[in-house]
Amino acid sequence: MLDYYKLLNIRRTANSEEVKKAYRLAALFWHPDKNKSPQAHQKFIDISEAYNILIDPHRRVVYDELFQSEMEINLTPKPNASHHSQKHKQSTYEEWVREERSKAEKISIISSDKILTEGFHFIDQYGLFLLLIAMFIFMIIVFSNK
Amino acid sequence: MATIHYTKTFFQSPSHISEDTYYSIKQELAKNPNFIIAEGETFSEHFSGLLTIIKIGLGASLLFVIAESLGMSERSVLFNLLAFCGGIGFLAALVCGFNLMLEGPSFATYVKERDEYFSRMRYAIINSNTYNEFVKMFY
Repeated sequence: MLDYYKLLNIRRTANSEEVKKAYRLAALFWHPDKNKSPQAHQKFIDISEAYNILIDPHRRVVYDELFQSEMEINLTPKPNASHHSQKHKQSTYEEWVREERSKAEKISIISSDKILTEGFHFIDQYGLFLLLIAMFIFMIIVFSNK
Repeated sequence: MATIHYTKTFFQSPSHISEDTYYSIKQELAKNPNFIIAEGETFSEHFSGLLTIIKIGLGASLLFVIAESLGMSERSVLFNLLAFCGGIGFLAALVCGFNLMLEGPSFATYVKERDEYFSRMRYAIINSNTYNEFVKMFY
């Protein structure tokens, strides 16, 4: 389990404003559009996951509990330490993580360069069609004013 | 009569890669899954100059619009300076925008076709065991 607080470089008692501020700084630094290092993509997904879990008070409580119990298990391993509700929380948490990671994956591939390339490619493909539409709209405006 | 010169870019598939190149790329991909087969210019890298001028030009004209909407005195030096910079900036952005509209579309298509070609090649190299298998799969 990732340590979200360490990832965003905030205290465990940080409020939502501090989480937001830390996320903005981290996202700006790690967005693959801005950071060309090979680990940027993974880091961006990790910090997006951290932000989306910590910003939701309910999810944050569940995460804190699970993280705490994982730390305790690591310190003093006990067999059958996880009971039913713990297992339920764990699976819910895993579901959130999957959801947030897939969202972050989609966001990370959006870059200004991709938008420009796609936009101009569209113009290249449908340039004539767009020109005809523009002329048609222009003619409608001209004739409606007469 | 004035003539406008501009560059139209097309993607031409490169010739077949050799067996040695195939195995060296395969080795590199095994070592580093993020290995880039052929590094090429991206759209914003190619047009970085034009895009910077457009950004600065539009920024300067936006500053003038803000000054105008704030009701700054037309006699003040700052307002005149902003008007001058805004005008020059807008003109520069317009010229660069026109140039971008001429060269951008074909370059964007080139970038897309190039990236598609090399991502297909990457897939074929990863998913083939021998050079012959790769040739059959990819070409």
